[in-house]
Amino acid sequence: MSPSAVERPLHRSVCRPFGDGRRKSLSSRFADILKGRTAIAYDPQDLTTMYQDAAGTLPVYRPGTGLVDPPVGLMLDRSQGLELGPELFDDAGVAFRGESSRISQGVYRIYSSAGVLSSINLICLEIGKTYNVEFSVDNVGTLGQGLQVNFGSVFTATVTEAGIFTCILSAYKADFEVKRILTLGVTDFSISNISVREIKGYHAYQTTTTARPTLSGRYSLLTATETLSTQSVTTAATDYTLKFEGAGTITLSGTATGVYSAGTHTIPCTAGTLTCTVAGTVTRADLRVKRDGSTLPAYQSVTNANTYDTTGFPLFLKRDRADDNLIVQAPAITGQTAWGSIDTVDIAAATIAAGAYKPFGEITAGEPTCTQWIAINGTLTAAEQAILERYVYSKSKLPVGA
Amino acid sequence: MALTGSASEGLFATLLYPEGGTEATHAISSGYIAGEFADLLPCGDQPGGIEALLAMLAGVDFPITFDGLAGMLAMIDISDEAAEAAMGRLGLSLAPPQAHDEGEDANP
Repeated sequence: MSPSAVERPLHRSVCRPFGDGRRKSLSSRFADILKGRTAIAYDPQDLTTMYQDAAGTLPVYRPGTGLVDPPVGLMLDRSQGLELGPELFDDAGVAFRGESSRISQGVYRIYSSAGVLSSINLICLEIGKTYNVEFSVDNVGTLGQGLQVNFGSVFTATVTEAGIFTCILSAYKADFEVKRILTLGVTDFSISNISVREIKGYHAYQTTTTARPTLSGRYSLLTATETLSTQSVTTAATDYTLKFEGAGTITLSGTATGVYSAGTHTIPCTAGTLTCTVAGTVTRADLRVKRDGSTLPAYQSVTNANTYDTTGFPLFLKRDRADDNLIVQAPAITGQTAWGSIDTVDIAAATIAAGAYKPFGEITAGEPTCTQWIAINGTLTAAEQAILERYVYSKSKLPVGA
Repeated sequence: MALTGSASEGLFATLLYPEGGTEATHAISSGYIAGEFADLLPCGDQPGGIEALLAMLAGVDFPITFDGLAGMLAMIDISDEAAEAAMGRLGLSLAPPQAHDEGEDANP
């Protein structure tokens, strides 16, 4: 008898009762928990859900790539899969201003012969909601300065050429309720296939520019880490891990003291300024908050504040604890919130009242970093609870229960 | 703030307290502001642009003289430090948590 004759029946009898043989991912099982439930889910690691401005006109970029860490003015809720609602645009509801007109049903001329404001009205937009707006620019007769979509005090990027134009659009002020596609200067465009669909969910925003959190992936406090030079950093009162290679030494002074050679060291620090004085050659140096059981890479290459490696490092929302915060017009939720930060995870029962809510806490409260934020209405089974925990811990690259 | 229109909304909403003090003496805003305004403010080696600021104010109902504006800017501490560092340098701290609205924040 060949080995394969024995193996085959066993393989089949074990595998088949469990479905199609494919195991669902943790993300997929988490998505199943959200189905049919009122929930909110923010994921700073999903770049497609964040915008630098509250209006959603300027997407964020990956931090560490040479530009300053981007602010986050709008964070989309992923709990409903960023599903689009039904089509809201209706040709019959279009009103015109200036010389703009209807060419045929669903096809419009946005035209100004003398640079006077001319527009078509998108009556279906409602203040306080977030939309995916799309239309086709079929022809540009006279460019002028192009077209813009204007919703409240929000203006999108200018449209200057034929093709499909898409934007996310939100407005939060009810005192300036214009909603239109308008000309800029002497302009003659024809557009069609206008689509306006609400992005389902409870999206968090911040209209005050200075109060927007930033998106970061920076874990090591040091800069020029490939070959370290003497520098000072700000520490909190907690344990840090110092790791480096090379024949040189690092002498610590300030919030911690000691002389260290190559290796991995635990450094208890107080709050304040820590000076790392380098003697000899110190390479691949890393200083970060100590995280027991973390699966983060042990070394993060940091050139400077704007250029650093984020491969393997979860991105996180970072609040300055002076004024940063996001606000959401939340539904009533009585159930659980789960908050992942770069240092810890907190899963707790919570009640959220319907209305304006600050998911990341008051300015001086809560963790200043967030790798994941979830609120789920209702009671979870023990199995669902376990999936939620594993999901949130995995997003922070921390072992469950850390 | 009259300069920046809606962009100024929500600024300086966080009060700061001197060491041992119970009454706020300062307010702080920390973060990004539009480049066109940042370029006009005195910060580090940058002298600021009082004339340009006055020219912008000509369009709004906010009467102020050159000296008045210069005096106002001189009273403000503007830096590119982290908020925590600036507060530490000035000997100021955020309001104690119990001073905020109790019960508003259910987060950890």
